[in-house]
Amino acid sequence: MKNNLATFLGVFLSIVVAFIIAVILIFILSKDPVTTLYYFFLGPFLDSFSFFNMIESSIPLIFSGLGIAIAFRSGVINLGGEGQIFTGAIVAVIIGISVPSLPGLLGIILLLAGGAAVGAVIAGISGVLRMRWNVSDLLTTYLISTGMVFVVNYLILGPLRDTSKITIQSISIPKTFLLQRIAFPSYLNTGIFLAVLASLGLYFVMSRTHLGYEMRITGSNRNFARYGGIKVEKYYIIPMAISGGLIGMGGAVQIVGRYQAAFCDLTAGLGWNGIAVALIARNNPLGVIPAALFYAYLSAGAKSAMINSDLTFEFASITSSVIFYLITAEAAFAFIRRKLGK
Amino acid sequence: MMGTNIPLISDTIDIMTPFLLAATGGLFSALTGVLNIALEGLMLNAAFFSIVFTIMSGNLFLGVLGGIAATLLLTALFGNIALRLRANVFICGLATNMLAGALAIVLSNKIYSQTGSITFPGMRTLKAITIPVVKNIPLLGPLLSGHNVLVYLSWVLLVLSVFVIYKTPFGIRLRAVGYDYNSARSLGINVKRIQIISLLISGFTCAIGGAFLSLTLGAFVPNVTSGRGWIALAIIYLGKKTPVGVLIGAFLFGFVEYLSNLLQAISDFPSQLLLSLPFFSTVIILVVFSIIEERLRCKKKSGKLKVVQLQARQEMDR
Repeated sequence: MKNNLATFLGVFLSIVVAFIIAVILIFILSKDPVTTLYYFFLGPFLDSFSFFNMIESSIPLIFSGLGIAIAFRSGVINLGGEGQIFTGAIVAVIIGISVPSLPGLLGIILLLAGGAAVGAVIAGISGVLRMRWNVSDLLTTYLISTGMVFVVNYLILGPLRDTSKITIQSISIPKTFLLQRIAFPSYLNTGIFLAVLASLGLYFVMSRTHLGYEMRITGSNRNFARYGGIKVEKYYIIPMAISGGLIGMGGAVQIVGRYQAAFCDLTAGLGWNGIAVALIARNNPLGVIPAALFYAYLSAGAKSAMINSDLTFEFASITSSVIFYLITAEAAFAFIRRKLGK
Repeated sequence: MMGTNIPLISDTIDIMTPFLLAATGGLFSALTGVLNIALEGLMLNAAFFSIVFTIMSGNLFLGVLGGIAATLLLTALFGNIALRLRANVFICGLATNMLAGALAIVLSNKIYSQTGSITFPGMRTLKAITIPVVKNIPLLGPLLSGHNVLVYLSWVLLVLSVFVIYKTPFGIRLRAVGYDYNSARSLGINVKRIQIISLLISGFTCAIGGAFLSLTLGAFVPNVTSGRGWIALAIIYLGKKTPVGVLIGAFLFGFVEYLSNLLQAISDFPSQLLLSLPFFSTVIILVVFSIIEERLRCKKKSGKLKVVQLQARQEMDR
């Protein structure tokens, strides 16, 4: 209990420090710091449109956060989130435009399954390479994913481009395949329920099933797991595939939930931010939801400050890199634990 | 035939420079057992700041120095948080990559009020140096002469790294820390300091690599490093953490990028697909390398096994 409290305080403290640094930087960078601060902190809450859009933007973050959390929990590293989201999205588009006459619900399921499958395959390849030839998963997930980003960009700029539009985007999927909007005029859609369902499902798998148990044991100590009789080799591949599958599905949800078509900067760092979300959640699937909401708030605040004041959107990344730096700082956590112990 | 290959090799030598620099420095931290996945961000940071300082001072040399100073600062931040606050080195590396990318955009918005490429008319770029006597040597001349000063610096640094790693007390300590952290510590080696110093060395070489990228271009382009830092990590791994291996690896990946550039210029193959080429080929090279290594190990093992069997048989014969 005391340990959990210390962990919570540690996470909380890293976030507070990040925001303190953000405030200092706003005073340095902005010509009108008071307005900027106002929009950075309160922008997402000022009207229901911004508020629900913020909730909406947590959907892909939940998916990528879950994907990273299961990978980290199981002792594999997936740095390919960007490519997996992007490929999941483009595959959803491809399926959507190739079977346009399918009934809506069936189509949506097919699109989501397609996105998840391709994400699972891309990440799974790295798992196989790790298992069979001991090639670093850290490198191959990144390399394959970055390669895939260029391939998807090629598809959007070339064969799948919608030439009737002024903006560069792919052909749109039929309207029948779109998820229901639940807070018009914002973009919030039923995808949020899918995201919550996914995190409940992953929580169940990780903590209540044999598979989850073996994955956790393998993740915490591979040798121990091997002596315990677990076939650890397959746990290079399975968690990686689930991880990629969840992240790929996040990409597909972006298409059926919000965008209807793919465009070049669709991922916008979602894959990397998923890592931050998983770290804040301490790799707990249920913790991913509040962590993703927090992260969505951070980006929504930066976006609001960009629109209403003179901040650049990338400011959110500076704040989040501070969280990244501090969130695993063992020394800080040990310090808090000592203080609580007294 | 040899004659036509020379410009090809000479171009590859230029292209491989950022790989070589990042991998040479990354080698130091890899040898101490710290995987520096921030090579990418450190290079990007230097690419940005070397342009900023060049524009500010109007002098390329000061630009490079400024880029190095800014990158050493970032590396020190990274190293101290990772090692003194005992944060996860890997996560801190990701943080550094993220910070470098964001910092470049936020600062360029602040300083130049734009977030795209930064350059200005009449921007000076690094010029190729022709070495008077060397350039006349047949075959070797065109390879050795006609590069810019940072290319030569990368060679000097590589040779220096061989010397430092294998011939100095620091190098021995460095390898000891990576070989067995706890034993090294019990011998009284200040392991944290060695690790931070080696991180700073990688920051230093990455800074020169980043400066090379933007100062040969005469502009800072967002994401100009485009994965080179990550490929440099693969190079260190493929080169078995040796300077010679790093040199061979850097040349190999320089060549892959050269081919990709060449195809872009002469064929109508879609450029986006060509850009994915270096990444996929890195994966393939990693796999092939690993298969070869496994075969070799099997051969060695089966060789040993035969000796053991032979000895056993001799025992039985007696």
